[in-house]
Amino acid sequence: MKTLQAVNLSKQYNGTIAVNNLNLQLEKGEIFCLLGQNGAGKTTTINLFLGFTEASSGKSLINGVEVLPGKSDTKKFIAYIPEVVQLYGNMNGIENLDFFSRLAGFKYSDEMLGGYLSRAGLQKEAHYKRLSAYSKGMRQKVGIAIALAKNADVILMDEPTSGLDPKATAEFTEICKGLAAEGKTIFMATHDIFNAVNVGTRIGIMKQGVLVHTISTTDITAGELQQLYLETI
Amino acid sequence: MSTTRTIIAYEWLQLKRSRTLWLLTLIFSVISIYAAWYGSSEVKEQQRKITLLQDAVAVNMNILSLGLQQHDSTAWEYDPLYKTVFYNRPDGIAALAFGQRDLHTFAIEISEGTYYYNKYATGYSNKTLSGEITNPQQQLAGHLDLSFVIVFLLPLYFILLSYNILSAEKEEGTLPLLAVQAVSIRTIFFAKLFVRWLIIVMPAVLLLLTAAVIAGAMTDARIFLFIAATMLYSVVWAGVVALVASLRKPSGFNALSLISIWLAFGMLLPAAFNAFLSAKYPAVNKIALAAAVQKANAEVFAIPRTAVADSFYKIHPEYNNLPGDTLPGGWYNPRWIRAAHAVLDNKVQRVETPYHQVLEDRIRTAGKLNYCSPALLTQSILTGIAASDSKQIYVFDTATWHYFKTWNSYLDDRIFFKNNRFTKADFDNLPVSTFKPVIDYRQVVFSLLVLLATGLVLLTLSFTRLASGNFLEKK
Repeated sequence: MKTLQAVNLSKQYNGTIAVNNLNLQLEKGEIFCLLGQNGAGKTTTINLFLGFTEASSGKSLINGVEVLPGKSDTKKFIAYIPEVVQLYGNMNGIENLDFFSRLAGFKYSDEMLGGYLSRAGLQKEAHYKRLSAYSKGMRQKVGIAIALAKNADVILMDEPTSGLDPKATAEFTEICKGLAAEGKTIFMATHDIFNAVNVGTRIGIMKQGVLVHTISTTDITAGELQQLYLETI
Repeated sequence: MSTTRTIIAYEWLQLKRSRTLWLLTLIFSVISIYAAWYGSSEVKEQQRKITLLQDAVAVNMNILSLGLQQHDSTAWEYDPLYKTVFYNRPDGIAALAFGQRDLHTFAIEISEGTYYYNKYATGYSNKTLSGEITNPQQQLAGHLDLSFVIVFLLPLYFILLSYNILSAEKEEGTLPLLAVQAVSIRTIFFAKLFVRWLIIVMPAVLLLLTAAVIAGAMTDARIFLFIAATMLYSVVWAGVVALVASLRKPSGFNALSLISIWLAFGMLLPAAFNAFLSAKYPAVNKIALAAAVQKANAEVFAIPRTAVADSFYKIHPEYNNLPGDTLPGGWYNPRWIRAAHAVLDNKVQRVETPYHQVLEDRIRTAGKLNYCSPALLTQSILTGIAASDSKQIYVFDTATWHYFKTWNSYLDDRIFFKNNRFTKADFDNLPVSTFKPVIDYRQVVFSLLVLLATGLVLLTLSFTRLASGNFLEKK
């Protein structure tokens, strides 16, 4: 089943093409890692799927429902982990997670919320500390927990490991694989070629808004991907 | 609904933990409590002065009563003692909106004499308590009563609390995570706005009730009109905040815009309206009026007494050709003096008419202009409910004149122009009049509805604006 689709999707900002005629289909359980330089159009692509920005032409679909900015029809299907997760500083981890879960329509016990935070890699002693005392990495883990707790079919991630240490990155990779095994679709924009090969099922390389290559990770090694990436950009 | 409850609950949780909120609330509460005390003390001071005057009148009345029990009187014997006081006594509600009560006289001695000479040539100085008019500096600064707090400080408190509801989410990076939830940003915004509205309205209502208790006005149903005005006025400001938020600009822009609107509603528009009213309805120079009264007074007393009599009989033909109607000579002749005063008052009333006309036009036009600013409209509602507005002061002025005429007519009819002796029965029937402010409740309710309509229009407009477009779209 196609959970995430882009059909002739394009976006222009003041005459500059950010995404150019993107066509993409992701199946359930797929992890698609999108590589590209800064400004290649990765974040714009994610924003188009999220409905944060309006497509200039073409369309994007989640679970077959067209994404329309300002409409919430597709929001129940998606979770989002931004590059920098910002949350409410004067609420603790449990409270932040409870707030966003309730907005998503889920009411969990404190124990269950703690379980999600732990699964995201956040140490137990930090659960009841206010977010203002959290490091960037810790906030990132709460962001992951929010995505986990939402139980969304599609998870969009924009540089999700940028604030994480190697151990946390490894844990995050395992979480992603686990989610994919549960049938979740993951679309991840990243600069981390090695992690992309490790976690992804498919890799895309984007240049100036155009998806130049789409490769299955079973067909390529990290070294080959790095070579291809450097040649492409 | 449960989503909205979640947003409200967590917004309250966050605000509860905000030091800024507690600090603002503390400052607001301290100022409000001071304002409640100030209004109450001003009212009590006016009430005390009125009581002093009433006591003085009671002493006179006792002397008269005792004297009249012995024998009937003549005007010659008791003229200086025939006097009473007409007062605009502030009640408890006036403590909440003191308005212009201390800019005008609130207690006037009613006695044989000339009303207008007392009013203009002496500025009531010999007929009212000295020192009742506050100093000009205080007049310039205005009163820090609860109506001031509600009209000027409450919106400021609301602005400080709400200017960045939406913009802060964007600037602090929480908006993207909110935007992917199956709840609209508009719902989130209005739920948060509602919490902040409650945060400013609840203490304001509590403070109003506290002030009513302090001022002894708790049983006065008008307190509910005060509360209604406060709530609806804050609804208008909620609409203003929402409308500015719907522009989706940064926090700095919002803060600047809202402060500008606050300044415009509270200061710039009133100043502009005052300038306009002064230009369109220039105030009659009271010094010139006093000079005219003094001149008229001199003229009346300079003309032959027979001419005074002629003039007087034109005004009061019923006293002409009665036995003993001649005006005998002698300076201290109450009948002649009374006649001269009546002639003078009649003459000056005509001079004063344009002055009243200007005042009436000015008050009427100012009332219409109030609808241009919610701050002015609310101020007019509050002072209107408390009978402290300029309209009421004018009504009191007119009522004083009528009571003065009634009082003097009674004495004229009993002792000055009918050669009767003044009996205990006459004394007991001396006209009594207590000023009761005429509160225009229809006007108050209409103004409240205008506030409600303004608030709803602004909220609807912002509700519509916040429905469309994307909050995270790059421009």
